[in-house]
Amino acid sequence: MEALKDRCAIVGIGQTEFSRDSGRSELSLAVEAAKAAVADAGLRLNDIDGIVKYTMDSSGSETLLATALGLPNLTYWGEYGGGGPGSCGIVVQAVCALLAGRAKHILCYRSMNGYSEARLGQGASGRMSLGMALEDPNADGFQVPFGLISPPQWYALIANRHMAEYGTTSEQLGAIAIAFRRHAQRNPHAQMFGRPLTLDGYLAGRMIADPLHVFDCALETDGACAVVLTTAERARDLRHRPAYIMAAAMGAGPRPQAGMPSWLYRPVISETAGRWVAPQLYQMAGVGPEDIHVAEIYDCFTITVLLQLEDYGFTKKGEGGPFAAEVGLDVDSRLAVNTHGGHLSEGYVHGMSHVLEGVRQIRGTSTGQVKDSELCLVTGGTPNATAAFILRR
Amino acid sequence: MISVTTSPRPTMTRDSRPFWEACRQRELRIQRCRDCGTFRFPPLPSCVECASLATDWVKVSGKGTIYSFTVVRHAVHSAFSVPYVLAIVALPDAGDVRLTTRIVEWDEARLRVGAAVEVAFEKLDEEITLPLFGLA
Repeated sequence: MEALKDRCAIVGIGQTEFSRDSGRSELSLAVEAAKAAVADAGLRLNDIDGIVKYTMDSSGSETLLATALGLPNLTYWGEYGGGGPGSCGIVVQAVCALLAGRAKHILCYRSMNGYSEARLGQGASGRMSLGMALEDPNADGFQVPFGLISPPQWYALIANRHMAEYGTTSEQLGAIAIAFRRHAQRNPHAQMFGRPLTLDGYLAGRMIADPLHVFDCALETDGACAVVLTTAERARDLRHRPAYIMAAAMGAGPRPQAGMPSWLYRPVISETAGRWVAPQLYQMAGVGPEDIHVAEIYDCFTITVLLQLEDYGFTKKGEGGPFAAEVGLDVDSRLAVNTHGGHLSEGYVHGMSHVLEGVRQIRGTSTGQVKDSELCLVTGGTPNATAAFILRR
Repeated sequence: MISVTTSPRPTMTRDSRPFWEACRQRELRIQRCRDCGTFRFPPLPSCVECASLATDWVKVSGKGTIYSFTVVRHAVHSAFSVPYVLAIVALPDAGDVRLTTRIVEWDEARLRVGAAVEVAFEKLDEEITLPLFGLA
């Protein structure tokens, strides 16, 4: 398990603008983000010989992107299913491919016209079947016909259960939304830049599915993000301080289910698969959650973050609400979370923007920079089988 | 051309067909492993505990309790007018099986985690009857 510790690094990051209408194809966005990441790494496009993408990415196949980038010789390509977990899942896969010597510089990315085209927030009623996209036939069989259709509804059921089990409150969920909106006020790339949020504003937000208001939900965004990974040896000669991957893991737990919608059938729903990823990370890295002071946590909803604060060991199961409210998740607090504003306030690129922000924290270039951040946790989508990694300087 | 007000139909698979055929007869049937007795839902060809392919479809009472619920306030599909209530319903006579469903005939005062419910079949068309639930 220790075979991958510190042996690979993220050496380049790139993104497009985040907007409600890119006016371009998803492939065009992917090309722009990829070129930016390669330039940021101090590499040339011809250096890229591996590509890993999310299965759900509809911008085109890996070989189509290779064609659009003029790449002469791809020797590794692959994809990672399940949706949001892909942000970290593709990094795990890229690390494995690098360590197996299958490629030298691997491009990982996500591109989506997530507002102007298929909106994931609309679930099955959008322009795609979300159940099919998530490879979960139970959604179309046992959920959609009843009116259980969209991600906020799934997470509202999870949130209400957590509230019933542990006494979690709306104000505690609101504390998460408000923290990320505060981070976004420092980030000119954030879609919510210039639009602060108070608790009153949060509570007055339109109710989507009780208890989730509009501000509990991720934005829907047109944009793309990309990173370049290579081995630690090659990373030393490139442009920026490498963000070393200290640990990376995938975890599913028992009864992992077909996909995200089917999590609702598990004996326990008020937890995420992060519970099975975290121990692997901490054992691999030789650190614990008490050593981590900044985390970019997948936030499709506020409740998603609350659950992961518990499942990644920052606080006990059931205490995620009080923890978020007391700690404030601020830059100078015990644990800064989603320092770019996250999905809730920067933009939603299916978790990939969290990978970029993690790298910025390691480099010292974040708009919400945590001082002396040696380590940064980045988590992939939840609640079902997922992946995560720890970056270090 | 499909009307946008048409309720979405369940996609039926070989593994789920017996569930829907039972619903059409206004029966709630859940899979139980013939080897180890574990109930399971959603339908699978094999047991989630022991992986046995030997399966019975067992008729259950239709009585359950609300494990969680949500009042949907924002419409996402024209077939479902808001507000409506979605729930995860536990079926105590089917192991730890829970179904996802919609609650009919509800009032906010009685909606709570732990509330008793009972299946209320609603015919969608000749082939499909949905197992909705009502507050007991």
